[in-house]
Amino acid sequence: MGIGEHRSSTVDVRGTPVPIASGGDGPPLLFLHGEGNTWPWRAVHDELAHHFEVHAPVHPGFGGTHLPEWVTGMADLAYHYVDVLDALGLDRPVVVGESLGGWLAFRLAAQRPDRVSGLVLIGSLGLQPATPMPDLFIKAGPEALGYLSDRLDARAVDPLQGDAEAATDLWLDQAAQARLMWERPYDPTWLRLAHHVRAPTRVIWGAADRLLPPDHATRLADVMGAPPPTVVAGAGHLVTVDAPTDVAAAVTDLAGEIA
Amino acid sequence: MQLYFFHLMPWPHIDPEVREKYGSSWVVYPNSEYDPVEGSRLYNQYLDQLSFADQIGFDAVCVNEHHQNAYGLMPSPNIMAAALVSRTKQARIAILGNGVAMRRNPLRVAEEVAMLDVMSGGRVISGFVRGIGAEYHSLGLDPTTSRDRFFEAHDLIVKAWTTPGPFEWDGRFFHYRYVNVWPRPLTQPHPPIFVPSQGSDETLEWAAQHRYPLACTFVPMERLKAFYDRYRSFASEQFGYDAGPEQFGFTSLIHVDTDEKKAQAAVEPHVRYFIERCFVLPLPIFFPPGYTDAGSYRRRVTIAREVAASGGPTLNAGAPLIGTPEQVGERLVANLAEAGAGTLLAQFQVGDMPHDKVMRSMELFADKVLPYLPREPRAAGAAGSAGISPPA
Repeated sequence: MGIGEHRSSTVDVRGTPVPIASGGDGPPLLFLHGEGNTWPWRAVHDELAHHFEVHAPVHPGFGGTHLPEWVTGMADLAYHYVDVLDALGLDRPVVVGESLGGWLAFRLAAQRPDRVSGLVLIGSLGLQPATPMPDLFIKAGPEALGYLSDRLDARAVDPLQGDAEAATDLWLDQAAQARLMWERPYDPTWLRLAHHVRAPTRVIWGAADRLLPPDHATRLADVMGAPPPTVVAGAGHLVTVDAPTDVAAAVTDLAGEIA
Repeated sequence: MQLYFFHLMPWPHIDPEVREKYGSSWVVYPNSEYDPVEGSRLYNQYLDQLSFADQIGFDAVCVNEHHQNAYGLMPSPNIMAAALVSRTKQARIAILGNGVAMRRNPLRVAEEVAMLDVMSGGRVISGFVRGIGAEYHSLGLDPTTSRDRFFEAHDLIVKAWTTPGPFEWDGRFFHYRYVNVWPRPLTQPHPPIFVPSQGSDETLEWAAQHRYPLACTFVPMERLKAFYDRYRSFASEQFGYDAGPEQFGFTSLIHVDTDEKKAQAAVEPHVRYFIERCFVLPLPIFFPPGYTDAGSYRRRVTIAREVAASGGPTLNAGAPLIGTPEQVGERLVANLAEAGAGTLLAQFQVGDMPHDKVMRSMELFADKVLPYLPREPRAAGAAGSAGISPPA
């Protein structure tokens, strides 16, 4: 398959239909998306597909899929991704996670260290920040998206003045996110679990992150025993949206170390 | 016709620029704006209005539950109901309702409502609500499981009232090794259940299934009729019965004066206060992510656009019950007939309307409207007495 091409399929993962976009050649890579309707195949996947066989699934409840009752927190989703790896026949991929996907990638690497060869945390949620994150659930869609990236179409998701369908799609993604982090927007067990992660880890952050400022990245890298974070100038919270090339370069750098 | 006295107990001193400065009078409106000395005076006035409703012959007085807001100052409806047990003699006490989906321990509701029912001589009407979306922000509760928690909490509470304990409850959200509530309710098999609703399909179907009376508040007549028609068609098509007027409530603002213009002028600033300061509920607060299913949210977006275009919610569906006693009486009967509703939930106090104005309108209503309404004699509670006696 050539560069820029990808295939979309829906894989049955122990009864849960999981839409997955895959493409590229190289070592396997699992990409765990963040919030803001960022689950489809995007520029960052194309960039990564130059060096990796990229698999980008949609988390249960996101992208218009059903939010199952069994999702009660990140631990459930992490075990779901063990099942996803089995369904895809992936033994030990590099796992890249952005924002809430970073939190999830951490849980997967901590719960099943034998299944993760490298861990990349991009603007990751999960580690308790020194000062509380802004609450995006209480903000209207356009304002919430503004915290994530300036490049998302914020006006479209205004339920009163924008596109009602786009607003509803975002609201449903936020619902799936609410199930995971409404009652506690971080993982109180992070520090206790961190030593379970055996995979080499990289932290990538946006210099202009409005949700979690970059000094949080320094702490996170320290907690994870990772090198100092790669802080991307001009990028906001969703670095894969704002600076996909920088993300691909940093991930490829890590892959060199593993190989 | 059943006549219920409805009250929100609002805070009457909300910042005129609440929308611009704080975004909402709910959840984030700082409680430094609340003055407890003034609050004490207000609670007593509001309770006086509710006990006066009992004295002039209302069938029920209503309390309700809202959290961390200036719209309604009854975070614990059961505390307010307890205050009314000894302040009222004959009227039922309608808790509209306990937010059972918001309780981490819903068995507490089974206990408290049973206490109230026993203490009041069986005068309690037990409303159950999910709580509006804002409550999920205020209480830090995941809105995505709210509906399922509501159904399970309801099933648990009704079973706790009707099945001899101890028994074990093993549900998705709640687990109790011993369900065995003391006291049991006086009203058998249990206090009547009432469902205030925002008209979602899921709630209409569920209430129709259980034959629970239901009331939607602050919606225009056309939408109200559509909601109630939906309930009636669930009843007849899925559950095999015809839902009668006793299963529907009709909520309306009422103000009576000696002429219509005077009545309108008297009410207008307080309605404006309600819309511009109490009901400042942006959509993400009112309907947080996952609070309903996708279909209900799409309908809600449409409604929010209509409400924004029309300048606010509707306090009086149908012909306004604001005018002379004759006008109010005639329109009231006509509105209930049009909605197919048998219970009027009459709201006399609105926004920052002061006590004297409320009492004058209630007195006029008692003298000139109430005696002419088509009503049954007031029913006594299950004990045939008033329970704990009011102070002489």
